[in-house]
Parts: sequence; structure tokens; C-alpha cells
Amino acid sequence: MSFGAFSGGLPQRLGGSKEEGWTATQHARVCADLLAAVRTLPYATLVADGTTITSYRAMPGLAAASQPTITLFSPGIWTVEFDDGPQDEYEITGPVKIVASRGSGIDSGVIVNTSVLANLSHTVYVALRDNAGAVPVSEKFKLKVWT
Amino acid sequence: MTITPTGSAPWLHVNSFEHYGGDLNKRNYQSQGAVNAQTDVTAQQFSRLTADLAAVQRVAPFAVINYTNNDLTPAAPTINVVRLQTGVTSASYAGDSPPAGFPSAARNGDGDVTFTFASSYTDDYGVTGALVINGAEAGANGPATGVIATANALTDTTVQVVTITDTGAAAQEQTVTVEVHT
Repeated sequence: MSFGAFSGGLPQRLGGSKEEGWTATQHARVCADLLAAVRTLPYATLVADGTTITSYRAMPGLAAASQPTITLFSPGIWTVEFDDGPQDEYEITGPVKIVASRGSGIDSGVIVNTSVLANLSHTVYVALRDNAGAVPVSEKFKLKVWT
Repeated sequence: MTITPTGSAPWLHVNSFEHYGGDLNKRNYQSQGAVNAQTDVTAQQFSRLTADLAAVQRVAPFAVINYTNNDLTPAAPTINVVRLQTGVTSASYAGDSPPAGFPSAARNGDGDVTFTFASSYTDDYGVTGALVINGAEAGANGPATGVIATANALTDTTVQVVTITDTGAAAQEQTVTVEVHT
């Protein structure tokens, strides 16, 4: 009896043909590569124009309701506050503790620096300056964060 | 018996959807679809899983590092956080005293450091893959604003990161995040 005869539901039995099965070695590669990617992929990336988010990609999802809140802190400095306890597709909740961040400008001559608010690790400061150290006219920036 | 996965270490970016169990001719057993969505995985769903994982594996960075330069009292940088495809740190360390499996970092001058990685790494199943860095990106995390951070892959295993102010002077004591790609 082929492995296929046992298929048709979880739990999955490994083995079978390449058309109908999933071998143990293939399963092992899936586990290894998925874990490797999860370790280094960013938690979220976004593009913003001031307080308006124009593009957003994040592990918990893309819905507008899950997007961070951007607030003007002082001229040229914004705070980006992420949801502290988002859920995954299976409603598993996990805290957001940002450990690294990187920003970049969109318009020419804009320098973007980021830092995590020390006592609120789900909030990031984003500071925009031009190459003379002044607040630039452009309020556009890109942000990438890791947990 | 220890299993050896198909394909290669993920940072080589050569694994295809077939290594994950995908196949262009994947089909449900006896052409039957899911009877119960809570217990059955269809060939189509599984095929999407393998294709998306291959896509993710192609672009995932090898390493993300957050560190702080030590310039006022010159010393190797403090490595705050490391995320490698092969493991993550649980505590900070001095750049010249890395724990096994993590990169070292040497201070070249104010705001100037070089990271050195191993020539090869091993995935969670013991599959070894050579490290060939082909790019890196950096961003400054303060305390100053208007700081420019640049990253340069010097060799297959070394990356230099430099921070300067908007006047071109070396920026001291900055915290930086660098992303390394293979």
C-alpha cells in the first residue's frame, strides 16, 4: 500500500512520491530554512510621509488597523509606535521588543537616523536632517525594524 | 539516525521549491481535494507553501547586527544584538571577545569598525555552507542626528562600517544597525 493511501488528513505521514508526498529530507529543509529566515527578516518595514504611512509590510499582517501610529515629536523628529501585543493568524499574541532599526531618506539629501525609545521598546524615534544639519522640507522616510 | 535535509544551507540562496517538497505536477491523492479544512492540506496549499518559502529564502539577510562604537575610550565596539540565520545572541558582548558562532568586531578609528565572520556556517541540521558576503547596509541609531552610516563588504567574510557627521567628520560613540547579505 503506498503512502498515498494514508494521506488525506493530519497528522502528516512523511514519504511518498514527488507528486503526492513529502519526504523527511524535504521536511527537514523546510524547517531549517524557515527558522533561518525568521531569525533575520525584519519585523516590519514601512514608508511614510510625515504621519501618513504610504507602504507597510509586517509579520502580523498588513491591515490598516494593525499599522503603527506616527506622531510628530519635534521638528524633523517622529515617533513610530507599533502595537505592543499583536496577534498572528492563529491569535497567538507576542510582545514587540524592537532591538534594531534602520532608516533611510527618500528625497535627495535627507539623512535619517532611528533609535528605539528606551523605556518603550515598541516605539522608534525617526530623525530627519539635511546635509547641513537642518530640518529638511521633505518628511518622507523609510523604516525597517527587527525584534 | 540523523537526517540530512535536501538542498543547501539557506544563505547560499540556491534552494528551490522542489527542495521543500514542491513539484509542478503536485496533486492530491486520487485527485481528491480537502474533505475537512481543519485536518487536510491540499496539494495546492502545500505548493504555495513551498513556493513562498523559496522566495523568502532568496532574500532573507544573513545577519543583522546592532552595536555601539567605543571611541571616547578607544576599544572594540560593544555588540548589543546579533541575529544570524544560524542563531541569535542572548546577551551583548565586546567585539574582540565574541561567543562561538558569532562575528568579531575591531575598531579601526573613530566611528570606524570592521566585522569579521567565519568562512562557513552550519545550519540547524549540521549542513555547512560557505559564507560569501555580497553586500551590507547600515543605519545610525543615535545619539546624534544627521549621522551617515555606510557599510562596505571588503571580502567574503568582512564588512567595514563607518559613521560620519553631515560635515564629513567621524561620528563618535554612535549606535548602528547593519544588515549583511549573501
